[in-house]
Amino acid sequence: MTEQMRVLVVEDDCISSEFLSSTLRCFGYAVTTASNGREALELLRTGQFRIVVSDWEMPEMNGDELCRQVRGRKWTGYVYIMLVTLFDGIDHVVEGLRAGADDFLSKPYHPEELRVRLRTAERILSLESRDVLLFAMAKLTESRDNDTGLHLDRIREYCRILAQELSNWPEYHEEIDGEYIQLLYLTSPLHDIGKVGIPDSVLLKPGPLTPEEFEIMKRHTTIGGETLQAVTLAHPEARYLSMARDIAFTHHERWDGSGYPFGLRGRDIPLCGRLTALADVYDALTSRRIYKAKMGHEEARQIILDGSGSHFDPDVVEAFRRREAEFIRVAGLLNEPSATPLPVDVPLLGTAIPALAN
Amino acid sequence: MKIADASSLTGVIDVNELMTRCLNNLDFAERMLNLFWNHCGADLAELDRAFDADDIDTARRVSHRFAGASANAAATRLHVRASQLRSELRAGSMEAARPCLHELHQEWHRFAAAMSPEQLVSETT
Repeated sequence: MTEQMRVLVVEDDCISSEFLSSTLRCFGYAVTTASNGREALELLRTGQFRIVVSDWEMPEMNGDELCRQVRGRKWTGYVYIMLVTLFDGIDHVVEGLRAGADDFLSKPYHPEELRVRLRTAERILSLESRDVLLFAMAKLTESRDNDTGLHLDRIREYCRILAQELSNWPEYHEEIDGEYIQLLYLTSPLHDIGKVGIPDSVLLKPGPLTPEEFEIMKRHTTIGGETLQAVTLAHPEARYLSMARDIAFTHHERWDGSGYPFGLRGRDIPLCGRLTALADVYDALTSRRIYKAKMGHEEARQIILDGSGSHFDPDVVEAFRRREAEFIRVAGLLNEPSATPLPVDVPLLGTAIPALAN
Repeated sequence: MKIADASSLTGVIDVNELMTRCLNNLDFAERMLNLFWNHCGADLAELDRAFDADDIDTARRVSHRFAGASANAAATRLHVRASQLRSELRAGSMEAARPCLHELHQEWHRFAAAMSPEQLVSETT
């Protein structure tokens, strides 16, 4: 016996809600209803719902805002959102999709149209195994470098926070939408995937690297980037692959052009690389390593702020400054459960940022 | 209202459309029609109060809800009137919308006559 797929219906009008719910039950779905976006968000927190069918215009929180809120949060699985609306203008379709909706349905809808669109939703959700595998690949890389603990989990949270902040800035509206944030969350853990090609003698060295070793370590960017580039060429339609490639290639580039591997400068560095760069460095600074103690937030913060315009994109630093409370919260929640206090004489590498986050 | 006996619904409800939308399930269609009848009278009263209070936000919200509900119930003419009212309110003028409210009332009277309460199968019974 197959388990019923749960659908969350969000609709303030009891007639439309009842109509939709009854239709969905006839189609074999398990239906729960919410009367506005805020109530829906609370129900989504339970993680029980993968498909949301929501009205656009509702009291307390509209459907488009619900989409934005869902896309800006960390959920255990992807939530597929279909907006149902009387609005028939293309502007609203664009606005809804930009907010992170997956599909649109106009009222009054034909039940068969609803049914086939929901089947599409189920098909797309089945692709989520892709996301799980991507994270598994990243974790596999991480397992070789067991000093980094929950590094990947924190990185994707930091990236999400930064992208979410910038998405509110008018100049980033075009570039950062709900899908972008979701993809960044998904692909940022792959930033160091090229480390699989770095010898243990370098990767696991318990101390600062020599210049020669550092040159070898730097190659993880091109190993990862080129691997993902090959896959991207085979699947050019997969936006997540091109983003993963860009992150792997460019997360050690610096705003002033002094980074590696290409020495890209300013906005020539893809935004996803600029975001991951800050997240990666902040995490390296505030995490314990075998060769260094953990740095406090204030000290790490100062290094990040000092790096604005040289190491980091000033906009990304400003986003960090505005959301630093969330960085502190994530660092606290995802700290190393097995971490043990370091001896006091462990040397600190201070501001040697490239070596820290390599 | 029992749809099978409802020749009086002709002109106010597109019965074929309603049946299609209710997956040709007569119980489902009757339940929806009665729900529409029970709730939309209250919506119309709320619209009147919003116009009296010059409260355009409430009027917009309720007209939007009415338009959606009437579309769902295949109440074609009511849907047209409610959509006109909604459009005028979205354009921002209560005064320009007032004739639309009047026309919606007239259409509602036609609908109510067709649905005559003594035939109504209340959801609560």
